[in-house]
Amino acid sequence: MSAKKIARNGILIAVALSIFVLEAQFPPLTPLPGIKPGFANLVTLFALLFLGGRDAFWILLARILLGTLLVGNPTVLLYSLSGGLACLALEWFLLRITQKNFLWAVSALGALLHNTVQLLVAVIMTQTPTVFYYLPVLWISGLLTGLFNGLCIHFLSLHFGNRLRKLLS
Amino acid sequence: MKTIHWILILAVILLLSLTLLLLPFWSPTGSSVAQIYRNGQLLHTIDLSRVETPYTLSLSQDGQENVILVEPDTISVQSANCPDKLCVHQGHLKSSRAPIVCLPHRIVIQLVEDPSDQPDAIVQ
Repeated sequence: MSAKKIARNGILIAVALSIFVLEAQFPPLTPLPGIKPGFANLVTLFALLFLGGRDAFWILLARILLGTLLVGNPTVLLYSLSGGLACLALEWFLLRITQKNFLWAVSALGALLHNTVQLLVAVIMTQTPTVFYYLPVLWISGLLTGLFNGLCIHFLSLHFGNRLRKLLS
Repeated sequence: MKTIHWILILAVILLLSLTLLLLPFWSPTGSSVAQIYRNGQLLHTIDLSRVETPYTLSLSQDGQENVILVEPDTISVQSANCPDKLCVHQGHLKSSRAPIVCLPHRIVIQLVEDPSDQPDAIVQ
């Protein structure tokens, strides 16, 4: 791993962590667990698009582990890890089979899977299938936040893509 | 895949979610029996229609505490020492399709779907 790559990934992890910690300071938008904008995922999407799956994976993993350490709630770790890794895996796969200008849809589907997996974990943890009733709310929130995050990176790539790629290579 | 295909997929998911979301408002629960679970184990069954004076129920285990407020025809979480207090903000239990959930303490409070399946007794 070259020094440039270490510095680049380090900066991205720092940016993702800052967003993650900042977002955790705001009061929850709704009383339901699991609904938040997930802006830290902007960095994961950026890494996935510009750097590839491997770097995106390590940046996501570092952000989740360090983020849980900083914001401090060990029960959240299982939700973040399962949801985040499943989401990244789906987005990586979808980006391989479609064009890059559908990032917004890829991101929305990724967010949907993220929330679904987290709800599955919640059902297993509480051992109460009734918790599944929250699926529609989580899907709507995932759809909106996923779309927003995807569009952000889509436009970033559209307008600054070439310059960024030159900078990062 | 074209743009329209992606939009259609996402729109179908959105419509499906909205339908499922609005379902509890159409179907009245008809049940007044609340069940409190921890880790999937039934702790209490309370017939809310038989409650005459409000009382609180403290669920504590390993330093994790949720205080449940039982009132005539309604139940809610009054206070909890979990980090996010989301269970408290979820307010009163209204529908069997929207349980109160405290994820950190793994507590679920729900209304029984079919009251005929349940005993009438108040068990504490």
